[in-house]
Amino acid sequence: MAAEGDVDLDLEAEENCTGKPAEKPRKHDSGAADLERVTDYAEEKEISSSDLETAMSVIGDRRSREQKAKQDREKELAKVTIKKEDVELIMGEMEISRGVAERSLREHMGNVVEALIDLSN
Amino acid sequence: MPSITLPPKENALFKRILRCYEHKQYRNGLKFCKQILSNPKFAEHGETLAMKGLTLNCLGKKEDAYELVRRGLRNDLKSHVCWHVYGLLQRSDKKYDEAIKCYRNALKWDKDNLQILRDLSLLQIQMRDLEGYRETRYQLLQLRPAQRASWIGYAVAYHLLEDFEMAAKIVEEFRKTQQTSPDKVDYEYSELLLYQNQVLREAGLFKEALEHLTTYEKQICDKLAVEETRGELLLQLDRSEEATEVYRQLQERNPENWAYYQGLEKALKPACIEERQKLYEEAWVKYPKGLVPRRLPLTFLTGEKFRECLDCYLRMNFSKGCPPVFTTLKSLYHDKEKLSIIEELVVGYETCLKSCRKFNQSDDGKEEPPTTLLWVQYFLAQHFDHVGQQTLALDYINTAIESTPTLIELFLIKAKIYKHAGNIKEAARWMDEAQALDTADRFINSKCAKYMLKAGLVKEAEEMCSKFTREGASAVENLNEMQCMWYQTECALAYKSMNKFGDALKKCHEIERHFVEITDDQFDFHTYCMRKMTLRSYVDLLKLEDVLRMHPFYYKAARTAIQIYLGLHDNPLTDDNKEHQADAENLNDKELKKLRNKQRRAQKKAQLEEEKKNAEKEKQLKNQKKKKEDDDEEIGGPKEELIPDKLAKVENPLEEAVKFLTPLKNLVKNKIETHLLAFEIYFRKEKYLLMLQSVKRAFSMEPSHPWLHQCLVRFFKGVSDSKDLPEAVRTVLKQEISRLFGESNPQNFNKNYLSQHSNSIPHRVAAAKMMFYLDPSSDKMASELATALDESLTGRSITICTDVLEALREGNLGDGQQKAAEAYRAACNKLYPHTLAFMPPGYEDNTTSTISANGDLSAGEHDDMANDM
Repeated sequence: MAAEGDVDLDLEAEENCTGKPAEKPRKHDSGAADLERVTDYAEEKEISSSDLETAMSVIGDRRSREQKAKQDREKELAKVTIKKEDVELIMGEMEISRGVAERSLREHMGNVVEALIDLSN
Repeated sequence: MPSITLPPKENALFKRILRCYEHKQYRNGLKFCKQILSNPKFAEHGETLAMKGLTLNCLGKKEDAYELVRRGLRNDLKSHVCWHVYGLLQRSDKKYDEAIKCYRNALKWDKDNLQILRDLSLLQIQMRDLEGYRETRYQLLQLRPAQRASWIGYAVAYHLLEDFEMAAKIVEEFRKTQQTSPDKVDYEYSELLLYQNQVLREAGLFKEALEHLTTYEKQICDKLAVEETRGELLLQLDRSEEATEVYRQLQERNPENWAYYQGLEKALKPACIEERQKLYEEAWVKYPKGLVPRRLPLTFLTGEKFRECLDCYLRMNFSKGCPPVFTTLKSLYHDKEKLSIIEELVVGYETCLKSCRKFNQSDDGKEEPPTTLLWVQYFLAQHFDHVGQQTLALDYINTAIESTPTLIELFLIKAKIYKHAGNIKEAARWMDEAQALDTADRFINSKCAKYMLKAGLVKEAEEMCSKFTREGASAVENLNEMQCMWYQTECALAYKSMNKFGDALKKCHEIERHFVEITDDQFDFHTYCMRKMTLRSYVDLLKLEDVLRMHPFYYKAARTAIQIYLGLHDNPLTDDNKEHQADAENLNDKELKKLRNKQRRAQKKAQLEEEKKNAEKEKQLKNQKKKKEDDDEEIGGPKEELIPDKLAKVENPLEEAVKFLTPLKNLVKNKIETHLLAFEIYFRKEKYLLMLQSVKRAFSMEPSHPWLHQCLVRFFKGVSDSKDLPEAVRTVLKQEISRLFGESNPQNFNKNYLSQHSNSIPHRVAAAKMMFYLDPSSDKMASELATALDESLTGRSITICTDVLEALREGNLGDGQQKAAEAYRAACNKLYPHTLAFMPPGYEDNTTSTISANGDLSAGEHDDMANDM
């Protein structure tokens, strides 16, 4: 259980440069030496919470609408049937990843020639 | 949930491991790990194993680290600590995609862990997974609505997704929660307001933005930004009178800022040229010393009015002695009429100044100081250089040097003229001369090094640079460390022209690594900028990083690398001597002997230097080693060393070329060369659809481009020769070719092209090369076509002539063209008497022996030269 809280520590440790003996600054390295001393530690300033609730509510409903529209488009695309060999042909000919090839094929309703023409534009 | 819960004693030890890691006391950390793991009950404790691995990673033992962390994870797949550690390990290895997956797994077991969420959001923004970033920021906002970073991060997410209205709304909600007194100067609040205003403008809400600006004006510290933004907004809202007022005030603040005059023009909307000019005439009275109000009208004035305005502008500059005046006028040179007015006027000045020390005989008043004549001659040298009359340009610059042999600028221009005339050796010599006049001037030192590299004097250039690099370190290493990319670019080109492909590639890859580093450096700003509220700069930075490889430095390095890889594909290197053989092939016995001697001497010299260097290096090595170890710790292990020989013997050069090409295809779409380079790669890979893509993109930019023509002919021939293409590919090719080009018979296509562009040398050369490519028996006709140099033909230049000469020598216009090549060289020599490439055989050997017989130009020689003048 204790470990859970401690994880936070290892992250800060990544960025904290303290605890290391400071090197003797060389002639032109004074800037670099200063940099070494910089840590990423900063205290979070808290906002007084009186206005927070109204602020939060403004943001809430807008989000849900957005997500729905995106999902609809994805669903529509997922319905298109595509052939595996078409995908592989596109990947090989255009040197692109499977994801991009599939998407392009779906966007052209599985028509490999149209997808290729579009990709060559 | 960890599957094994450690008893209190071991748990305390585990905490100490974490603390040791945090304080970089890795050895101690390992000790505590051992204490836990040596207990047989906990020998396979997942989280301890993972932490041991992470600690070892910091000590540079990457392989052990991966093994341990993976083992730890296998033993405790439900521990978010193990997943988190695995993510950190991957992140230190720059495998951001993998690290993101690990964090996601960690979050499965502890979904509200703030630290992991924050860390995930950093990687998402770094990888530009903007949708994901927005989701994570939303979670953070919900978990910690009282932290301001939560709000800002969420707003930035929407801004980057270009939902400006939403971004503005979030910032506004956040702003309302900020309590500030209107009298206190709060820089961070001011930045927030300016950011909010920027978002409003990008949302197209100009009215709201203006209101916003007016409301909060007092609290914004950057007053100039307020006024400039106000001017811009008033223009957008078509409120001309107010805009005029704003721009007039800005002008008063800084009468040398172009943008304010442009703003004023937009506000006043002058109906004709006279009105437009009047606007500037007012400024002449108000700011009698201002140069910008004199320069700007030159862009739109013509004829007599142009001459009057120019006359005044030039006199002001020449009397004052303003070296960059030519540069400020260069953009007018595309207009033939303006060019000839400039020439007439300045040549007139020169004659009058010489005879009566006045710009014009009819001038009354004081005589001009002698420096005026000097600057006029300096201008004329640049002018004639620019229009391609290098001999005349040299006359002017030599006269100027004669009168003032101590002015560095003059030598600089002399070197430049020689460079444009095609004699880089002479150019480097004069640049060295300029450098010798002030060895403490770094600009001229760099210029000199650059010219030396262009002349192939790599060693000398390095020595030149070493005057300004850190003492005790090798100049080349220091320049690499300082990301001095102009040096590395020129170095790559120099090595390339010496056929040292490995060394050239090393330089290209070094530049590529700088760009990787710049991208990585961005990481620290994700937290820093949010905290400091410098959001305008932050968003600018992100946008810059997105298009970073658009930079000319990257373009040049990529182009050089691609060209080399193409060459290596066509003529792979097999053994060490190949490079030298390639050199030796074109030489006869006598030249060969000379070359060997030269090589031997160079070798001896190099050996001596090597010894000297080795001693020095050892000293440095000791110093550097320690530093390097520290560095490596930070970036997660040393990068693979770049070894020239290995680079030149790459197994699949085309794949390497594609790596350099890919960023260009997206970022430098508007350059035709990008697509032509792409074609050259895909042509060799026989990827017909990608060839089609390249020619399509190039064709839409400049359909008659000579290089594109060569691509098209080879493409058509390739398509008609290829047999076993997949059906779909064949259909696409057929459909697209007939739609775009109609004709696809390569012979006919070439013929049509030639008849359409028979007046232009570059086009003729392209057609000639393709004529020979399609039909080797047409070599005679092809070489005749390419070598024509008639006055009536357009597009004659040193570059194209050099290209033709090379083609003749390499047999790209038919075999056995040595005689034709020699005749062509002689003809070019007449046209371009200064150009090295057209000098008679043996010329270069004679000159090089005088320049670099002693390795480099010693100070003594310079003095002699200066005295000669």
